[in-house]
Amino acid sequence: MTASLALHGPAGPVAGRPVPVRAELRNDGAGELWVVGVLDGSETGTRFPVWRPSVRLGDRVVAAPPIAEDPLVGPLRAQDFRRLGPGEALDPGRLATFEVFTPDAPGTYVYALELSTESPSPDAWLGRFNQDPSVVELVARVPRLRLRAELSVEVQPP
Amino acid sequence: MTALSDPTSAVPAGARVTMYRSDEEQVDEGSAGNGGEAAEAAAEATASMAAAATAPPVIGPISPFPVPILRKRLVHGRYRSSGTGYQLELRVDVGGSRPTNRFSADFFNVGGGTETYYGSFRVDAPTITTTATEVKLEGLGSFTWAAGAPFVRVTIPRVTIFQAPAPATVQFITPPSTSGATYTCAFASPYFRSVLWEQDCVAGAVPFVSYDTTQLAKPAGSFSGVLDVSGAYRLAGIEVLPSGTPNVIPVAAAGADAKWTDAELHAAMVTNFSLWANTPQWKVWLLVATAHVGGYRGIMFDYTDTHQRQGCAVFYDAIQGSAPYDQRAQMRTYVHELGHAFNLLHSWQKDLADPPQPLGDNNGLGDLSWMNYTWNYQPSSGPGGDAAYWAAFPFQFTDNEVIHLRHGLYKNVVMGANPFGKGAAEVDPDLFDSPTEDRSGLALEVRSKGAFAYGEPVVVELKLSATDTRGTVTHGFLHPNDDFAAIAIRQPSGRTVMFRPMLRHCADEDREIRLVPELALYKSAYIGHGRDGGYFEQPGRYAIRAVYVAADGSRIVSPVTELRVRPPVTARDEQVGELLMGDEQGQLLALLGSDSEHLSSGNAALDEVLDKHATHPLATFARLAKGVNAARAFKQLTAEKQVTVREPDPTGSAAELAKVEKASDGDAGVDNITLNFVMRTRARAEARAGNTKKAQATLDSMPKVFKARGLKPAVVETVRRQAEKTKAELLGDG
Repeated sequence: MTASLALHGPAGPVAGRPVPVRAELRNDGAGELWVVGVLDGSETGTRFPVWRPSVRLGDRVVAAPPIAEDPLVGPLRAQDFRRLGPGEALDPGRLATFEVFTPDAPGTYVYALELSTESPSPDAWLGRFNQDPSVVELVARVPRLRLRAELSVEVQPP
Repeated sequence: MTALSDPTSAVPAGARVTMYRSDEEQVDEGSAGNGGEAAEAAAEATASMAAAATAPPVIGPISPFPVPILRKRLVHGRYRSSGTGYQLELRVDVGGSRPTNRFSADFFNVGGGTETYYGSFRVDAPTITTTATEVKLEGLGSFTWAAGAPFVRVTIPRVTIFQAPAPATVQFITPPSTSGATYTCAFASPYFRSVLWEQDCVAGAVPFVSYDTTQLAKPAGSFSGVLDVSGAYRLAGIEVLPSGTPNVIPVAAAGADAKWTDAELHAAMVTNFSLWANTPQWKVWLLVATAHVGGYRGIMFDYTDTHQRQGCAVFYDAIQGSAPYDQRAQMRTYVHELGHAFNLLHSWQKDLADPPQPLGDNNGLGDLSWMNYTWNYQPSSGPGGDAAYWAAFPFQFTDNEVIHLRHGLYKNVVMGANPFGKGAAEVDPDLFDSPTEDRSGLALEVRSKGAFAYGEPVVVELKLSATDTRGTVTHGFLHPNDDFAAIAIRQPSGRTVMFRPMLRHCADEDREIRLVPELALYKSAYIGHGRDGGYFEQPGRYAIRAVYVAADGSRIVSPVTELRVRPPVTARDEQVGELLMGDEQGQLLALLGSDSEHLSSGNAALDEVLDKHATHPLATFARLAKGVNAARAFKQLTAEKQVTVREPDPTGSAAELAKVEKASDGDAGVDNITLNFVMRTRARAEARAGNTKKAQATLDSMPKVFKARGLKPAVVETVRRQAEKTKAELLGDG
């Protein structure tokens, strides 16, 4: 199993507007790869898979998910599992941190994203209500991995 | 006393339930379902108060100014009928703050020492007519049961602000115009629902008090002033009343790490929530704790057990701060977690509810609600995130959330009822809620074998006993074929159905019994098949619960009994099971046999069981139906209007029933009560066939047979007396 995580952004974004950075998880191996995109609670690390975004300006973290409000995340469903064939890629879905962060000044912003499927137990993937427990069997299909991607974005004056 | 009837239907005079209170005379308890007399009395009292408020004016000089038109009272709020039988709690939502222009109500059954929730309805788009003298709302209701009179009309007289609020009259109608039940509901509160809120605090944590919304920028038109948690709910029309004595809980309750797990929080709730009970009730607990092991700001931690949503917590270490920004965020966390206790999901999760609810703007991410996350806020147009949320948030729930809070079906909202995220319930189980109070002095049990073979007739035993050592007088209509007992069955699919017997017996006779703790009443009931067909046709786990309405109207609910229907092991098991499971076979088992030509294919199936699978354990049940039926004559009316009589076959009956008795050893064959019936029927058949010695021997053997089955001595003694009584009937005293 070989997989890679990448971030893509537009050229020449300007300060005062969110930068539409998107993520891509690619199956670089010869076999199939089962993955799960961003779920309710993934961004705050409340549940697996963890997709943890952040934005740095210099040494300062200027955007990151806050501590989780509460752990009442929605159910993991069979349709959340995606099978990637060799060479196929997945956009994991909305990352609120990237979507709402608005650079207020020009500069070099580093957008970073970390993916972890290294859960201590499959239960750490499940929702807290209306959860079909049989879905837990599908968790075993997702390889345990930890990937990280970064993207430097030069934000221009408005 | 109230039978298990539809509270929307008027009970015709001929169908009035007449039961006894004492042995002197029968007392007409009135038609089921209204309980209106007390309500009418309350209405009269209200009218009299209103009259006092509008005492004759003092006549003085004629004013040169126009006489002011007196402002009329708003009619929105909560109303409730009174009395025994069904009580109706009505919520009228027109006028007032954020009117949703609908009405809804819950039925409660009040009788004896119990009050039990029955069901709810809602009229979402009523026709509203307002005149100078009254407000009338009417429309077709959505009910949690198949209501007989589903069109609802609410009429409320308009009174001035100087008069006491007028009662609402609720009339149920079977379309097009047949009147059903009518309820008179006195005004109870301007709030649609009222909840008692107990808040405890861990040592060292500081509870939030209030926030002045003018301290930070806020959207125009939103609430201005000092707002607290109760106030936030009041804006939604919900009364959250602080209650109980706040306890300070030592931090040691959270374990050595001083951080709370969900289990520790639940244990703290059970220990410290003085209003706690494992039952649905409008009571909620909030703990101001220090920190959660997961690092959260708050949690509604009660989402895993049977009675969920009774408690939540906020974590001071994560939310503390005295700056206005912190205070505002703290208030949001308190209101948010309590919102989960009302069964509100996060804004972007509404479609994950059961059943799914519609999502708001931008898949719910754009909801301006207490239930959204500020950092996750993203409207379909414009900026998102924390700052954008607060710039637009008007300190309120969304319209759909307000509808849920005010008019959600009782079990979907009240704490301790439906699980978190479950907004739907199949309806009839509502009938079986444990009473919120029980002073009836009676207890009900449903017993059954733990496992049944595929196709085996499911028979349960109902036991009604006294819990009061002085004994309790009630009636003996305990069988679900009677009007005063019913059984609900939760099938492996999760669907819950009512057992509807093939035949219902009218309880039109006295059957008064006095129960004492050592002398219970037992009934055996075949519940495998009823008017809806077979109830146990799928292998899997089933849950059974029964309810009995006592003579004083108390509703006695049994604990849940589980049973399993095993999948067939062999092809023969499957074949025999299928032969016993058809619709006609079910009827034959319920009737204990019949010669009816309408059941000929069912009889053919039972014959096939006996012919081809005579040694199979389930053949006993075919034999039971055939044997009992053979003992009696069977009359049929031919197409030519001639009555033909098939004479009893006592010899054949006795032979079949002897085999049933022989096969009923240990857990196999028929249950104890049925075996008792089988042995006495066999003895009657033997006596009728002229073999009195055999009949006597059969009856004499009964105490020994039942002793060997492990029955208690008192029950064996009852069996002996029954056998002696039958012997005296058949053979005379000599």
